[in-house]
Amino acid sequence: MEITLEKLDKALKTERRKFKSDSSVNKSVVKALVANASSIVNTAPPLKNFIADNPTKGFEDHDFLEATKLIEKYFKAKCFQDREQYQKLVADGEIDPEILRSLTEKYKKEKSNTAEIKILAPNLNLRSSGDTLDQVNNYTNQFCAGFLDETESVWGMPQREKGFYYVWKNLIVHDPKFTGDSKLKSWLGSLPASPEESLSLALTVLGVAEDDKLEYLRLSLSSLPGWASYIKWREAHEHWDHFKYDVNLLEYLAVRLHLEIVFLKMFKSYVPRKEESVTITRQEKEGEIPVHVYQEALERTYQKQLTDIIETNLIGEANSQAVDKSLAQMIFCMDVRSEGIRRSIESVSTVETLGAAGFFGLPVSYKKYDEEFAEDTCPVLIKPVHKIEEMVHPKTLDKFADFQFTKSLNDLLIKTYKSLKTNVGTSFIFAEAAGILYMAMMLSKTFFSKMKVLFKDNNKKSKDKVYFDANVDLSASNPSGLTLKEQVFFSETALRLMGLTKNFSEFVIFTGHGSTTENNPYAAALDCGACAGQHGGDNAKAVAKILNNPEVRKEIANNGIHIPENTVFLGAEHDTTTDEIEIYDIDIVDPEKRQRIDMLKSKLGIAATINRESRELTNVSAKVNKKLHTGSVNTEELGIDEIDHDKIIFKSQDWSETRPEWGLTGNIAFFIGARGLLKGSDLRNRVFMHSYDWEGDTEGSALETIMSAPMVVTQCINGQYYFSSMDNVNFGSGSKITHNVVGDFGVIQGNSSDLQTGLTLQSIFKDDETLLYNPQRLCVYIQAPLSRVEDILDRNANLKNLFTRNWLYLKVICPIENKIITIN
Amino acid sequence: MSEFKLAKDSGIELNEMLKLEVVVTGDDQETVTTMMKDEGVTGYTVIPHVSGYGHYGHHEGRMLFNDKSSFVLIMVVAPENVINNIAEGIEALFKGKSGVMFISEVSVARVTYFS
Repeated sequence: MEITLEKLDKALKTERRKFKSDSSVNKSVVKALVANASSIVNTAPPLKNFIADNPTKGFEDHDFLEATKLIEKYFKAKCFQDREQYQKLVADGEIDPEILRSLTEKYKKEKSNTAEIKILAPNLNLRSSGDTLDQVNNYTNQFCAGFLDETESVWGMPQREKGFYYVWKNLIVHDPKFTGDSKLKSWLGSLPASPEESLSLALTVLGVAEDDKLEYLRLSLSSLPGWASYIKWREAHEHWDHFKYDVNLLEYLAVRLHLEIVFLKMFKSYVPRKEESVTITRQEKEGEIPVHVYQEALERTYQKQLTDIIETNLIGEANSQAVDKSLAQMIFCMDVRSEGIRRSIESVSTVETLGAAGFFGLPVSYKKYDEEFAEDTCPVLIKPVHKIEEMVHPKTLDKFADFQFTKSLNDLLIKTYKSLKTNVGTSFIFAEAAGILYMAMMLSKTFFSKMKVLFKDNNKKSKDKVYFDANVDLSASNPSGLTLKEQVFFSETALRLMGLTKNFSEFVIFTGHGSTTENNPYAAALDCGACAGQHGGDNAKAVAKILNNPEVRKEIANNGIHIPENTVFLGAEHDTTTDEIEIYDIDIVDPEKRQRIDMLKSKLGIAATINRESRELTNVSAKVNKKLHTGSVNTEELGIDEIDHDKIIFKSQDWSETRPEWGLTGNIAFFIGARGLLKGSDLRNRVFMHSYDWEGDTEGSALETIMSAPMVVTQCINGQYYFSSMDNVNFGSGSKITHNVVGDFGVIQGNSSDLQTGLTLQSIFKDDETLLYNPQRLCVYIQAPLSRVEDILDRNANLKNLFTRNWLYLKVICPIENKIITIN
Repeated sequence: MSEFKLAKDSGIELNEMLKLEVVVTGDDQETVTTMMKDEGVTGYTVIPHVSGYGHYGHHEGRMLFNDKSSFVLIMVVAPENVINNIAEGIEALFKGKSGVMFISEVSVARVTYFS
C-alpha cells in the first residue's frame, strides 16, 4: 500500500471517524510492536550516570559484518575506517602484511559469502523529503528538550504528570503554526486519548501496511537515535526518584508519527515508497581488499603481540614465581586504566595486585550524605537490591557541625543565586550587578587553580575532613541495608571470583576508581563503568567494612576461606586523572600498622609518578602507542621533553580542559587469569584484567559469573569506543566545544540537535581528524581448561553468540595443554 | 464463568480462569509486566534466573550479576478476555524476541484476588 497526498487527506477524514466507533486496538500488541522496534537503539543514561555502552547492541543477533551493513543503512553510518587509512596502517607497520595476506586469501576462498537482508527503504516518505524530515526532527528536538527538562527552566511544560503524548496533544492545538488549516486543526483536536490507539491510527493514516509497521517504527526511532535512546533508558527506569515525570517510547512514537502527518500535510511533499534490499558481500571489488578484512588484520596483529607476551610467560618462570605480597594486596577495578597503575605499583613495592569488577560484588545503590538521591553503584546489567547510606564516622563527629554549617551556607548561596538568575524580575539586574563578581571568579578559576595544585597540602586536607562511613548493616533505622547472610554471600563471592581465598596479606585494599575533572558534563564517562558511572571508592569502603566484621569472617571461614586475624581490609580510591590513591585508613590505630600503611602510601606516591609518565609517553608518542611494549621506554629515547607532572595533575582542576584524561580509549582485550601471565609487560592501559584462579574454581561457577557479567560489560564498553571512534557524528557526541547542556541530563550540539549520547570527539581523537588509537573489537583471553570454557559457552547461548557472531574474539590459555587456543 | 465445588464437603469455592506462563529474557520482563498491569491484572509472579533448553540452545540460570540476559518466568492468572489480550501482545513480542508462552485452564479460590 502506498500513501499519496489524496489518500492522506481522505484518511484524515475517515480514519478518525472509524476509530471513534472501533476500540478494537489491542494495546498489548501495540506495546509489543514498540518494544520490538526499540531494539534499533540502545539505552542512553543521563549525563550523571554516563557509562560507555554499545550503541548498536540491538544488532548483536546478527553476525558482526552483517550487522555493520544494516547499521550503515539505518543510520547512514560508518562502521570501518577508510581504506586509505588502513593502507596507511599497513605502511606504518600497525597491520602485519602477512596476517593481512592470509586473511585476504581466506576470504577469497569463501564461496558462499553473500547473504541478503531485506529492509525497507529508509523512512518511507520522509527521509527523502528534506524539509519535512527536518521539520519533524526540529520540532521533536525542541519538544523533547522542553518536556524532559526538570531542572533548568523555571517554567516547565504544564501537566507533565499526565505523560508526553498528553502534553503534546494538548499543546499543539494552541500552536498557531498548525491551526491555520481547519482540517488539520480538527484532526489534531480529535486525536484519541490513548497513545496506543493514537499510534495505531497514525500508522493507518500514513498507509503503513501491517507487515511494514515494525520497520516503519524502527526507522522513525533511527531518525533521532539520541532522544530515542535516552527515552528508552528513562522507560527502563520508570518511577526513578531522580525524575518527577515518566516518559516512554510508545508516547514518543505516537507524537512523532502524528508530526509526520502534520508536516506532510503542510509541506505537501511526498516521495513514493519503494522496497530496497541490502546485499552483504564480503569481497567488494575485484582485486580490492575489503575494509573489514583490513580491520580484522589490524585486530589480529595486536592479538598476536599480546599472545606472544602471554606465551613467553606461559613457558617461562614468571607464571610460577611466588608473588611477594609482604606489604599489601591491592584489588583494582578490571578497568584498562588499572593496568598501568598496577604495573607501576608492582615495580616499586612488595604489593600484589589483583583485578575484579570495581563494584566489588555489591549490588547496591549508595546514598552520599550530601546528595539528595542514592545512585546505583553496580553494573547496569543488574538492579541494585540494597541501598547503603553514608554516616559520619564517630572519629570525625567533632568536625561535623562545621561541615554542616558550611554546607548549609553553600546550599543557601546556590539557591539564592539560582532564584536571582532565573526570576523574571531579577535576572537582568542580577546579570548587571553580579557581572564583575563573576569576572573575578572566572579569573580566579583560570589563574589560581594551578596554584592550588602546586601548593596543595594533603595533610591539612585530610585533617579537616569529615569522614563518612558506609552504613551496611540492616537495622530498623537502615531498612535497606544488608543482613549478615547477604554480607557473607556478597563478600565471599567477591573473594572467590578473583581467586583470593588464601595467603592474605596484612593489608588487603579494595581500590575503586574515579576521575577528578572541572566543568565537564561528561565527568561520569571517566568514572567507574562497573559502578554505573560513579566513583568506586564507596563500594570499596563498604566491602572492606563487611570483611572486617568478625561475624562475617566466621561465616566465611565455615565455608573454607580463613582470613588471618591480623589481616585488615581497607577501602581506597584511585584518581585516574592524577594517579593519586587515597586509602581510607581512619580505623588504623596500631602504631606499627600505621607505620607500614605510611610506607605503602609513600610507595604509591612513587608509583603514581611512574604511571603519569608512562601515560603521558603513550599519549604523546606515536612510536609508543602503536605497539604493546614489553620493555621500558623513557623520554630521552623518544626525544620528548621531560614530563611535567604538575601539568598532568592540573588537568583535574582546569575548567577549560576538554580532555583531562583518555578514559578507556584504546581498549583491545579482556584478560581473565593469573597476573603472572602478563607481569612485566607494558600493555599501555589497553587491557581489562580480571584475576581468576582456575585451580580453585573446579566447578567453573566463578568463571561463568565473570563471563556472564564482567565480560559482557567489557564488550559493551568496547562497542561504544569502537563505534564512537568509527563514526563520531552518528554514535559519538561530537566536539565538546559546541556542546550545550540541556536539562542537566544531556548535551546537544548548538542550540538544537538530537541528544548527543556517545563519547565526545576529545575522548578519542588527538585532533579533529586523528584518532589516538585505531578502534578494535575486544579479544577475550581466558586462562582455564578448554573443556570448562566450552561447557560454559554450551550452556549459555547468549555468551556463545558474542563469539560465533564475531562481536568478540576468544583465546583460551589452556593450562592442561599449556598452550593458547584460538577459538575464533 | 462457571463455578463448581472441589468436593462435597471441602467448602472451597473454585472459579475457572486462565493461567498464562511466559519465559522471556530479563530485558523483556518490564514490557510483559507492563502489558499485564495495563490490562488490569491484579498480580503476577516473577521467577528470575530460570534455566532450560530451547530453540536457541541452553540457557543457564546462574547469572549472578546479569539480570538482563538471564531468563525469567512470569505467571499470571486472570479472566479469559484479559489473558487473550496479553497473549496477543506477547505473541507480537515474540516476532522479535526469544521466549515461550503457555496458557492453561486453572481453578482459583479467592476469586476476588484475580479480577
